[in-house]
Amino acid sequence: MRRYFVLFGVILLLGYISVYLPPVREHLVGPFTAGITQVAGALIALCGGQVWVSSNTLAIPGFAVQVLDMCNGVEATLVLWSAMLAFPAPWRYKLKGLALGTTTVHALNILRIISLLYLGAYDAELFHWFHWYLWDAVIMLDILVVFLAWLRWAPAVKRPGEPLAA
Amino acid sequence: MSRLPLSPILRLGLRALLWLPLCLALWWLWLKSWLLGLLYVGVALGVEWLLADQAYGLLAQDQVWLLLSSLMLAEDPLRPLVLMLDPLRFTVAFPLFWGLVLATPGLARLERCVQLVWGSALLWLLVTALLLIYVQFKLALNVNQQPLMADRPSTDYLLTLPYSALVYYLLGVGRQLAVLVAPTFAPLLLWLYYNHRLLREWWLTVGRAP
Repeated sequence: MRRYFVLFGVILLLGYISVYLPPVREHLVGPFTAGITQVAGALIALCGGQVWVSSNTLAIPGFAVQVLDMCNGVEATLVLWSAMLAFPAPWRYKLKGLALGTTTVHALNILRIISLLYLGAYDAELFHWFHWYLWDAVIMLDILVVFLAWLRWAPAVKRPGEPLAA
Repeated sequence: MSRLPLSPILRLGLRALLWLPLCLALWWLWLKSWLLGLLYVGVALGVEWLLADQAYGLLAQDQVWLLLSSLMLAEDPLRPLVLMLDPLRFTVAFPLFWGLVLATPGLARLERCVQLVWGSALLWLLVTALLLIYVQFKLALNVNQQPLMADRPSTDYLLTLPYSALVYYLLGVGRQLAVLVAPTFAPLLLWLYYNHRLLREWWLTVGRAP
């Protein structure tokens, strides 16, 4: 378990150090954030909402948000990736988990962005509370649930001298 | 009709639906100011010990803290920089941890109390460290006068030498972790650490095909 926590910490730290490098932010994270904003805008338009999208800014009548760090789901995805990559499971299973987990985190994050946009149009104080406290916690809990579900269905790993769980 | 026992995982989920909102409400309505007071003690000491060359101390004004820095603004007459800090976000770590511990099924009362007390003490230490990283970042931001991550400095220039590019970048990474990620992630990690045996039992044995 200690080995897992250390490996998890190392992968997470390396991930954060790389993702915040200026070229990575400019050429990878920036366009990705704009993409997330586009998807959120397209979903609002699909449901009949009036919306304007420009780069990482999303606006509806009465309110606008700028999608920045943490709001783009990159930090949360890194936490999930580190948790899965550090765990001793077969690579095929890890890759499946990374793909499904990332999809889940971003689907919830897009829902978060849309809900915050409408909440902001309704009440700025509520927006602040949900944005700064509640939704961040929900996203982290989502990662925990996804990770535990992934563990639940992970093929059992047999360590030397340890019987497989029945 | 016989009642099927709920799986511990489902019980954890259902109990979390009760305990997490309850702890968040308790925190927001009654405990946040008290937690801020406790954190203030640690951070004020930390500022005194670790940032003595850059700050005189910390003042608490309701839910906002003022950092009285010893760095002089490039103005005539000279006056020191005072930074406003918003520490409330950091306190959300506590209700999340309490909610998870209270929601965990199968813990003896004493074990649950020990987790709550020791876990809160550990979180206090950790959150104090996160706040100190945040304070150091805010100082660096104003010293270097360059936007970093999603934060921008005030327009006041300071009479001091800037941080090197590498140190400034690492402080930015520290800020992202300390402000954006750790306040909601640390309580989950701590809960996992305390309950990993229980989780291992549930997830690696219960209901798994032989």
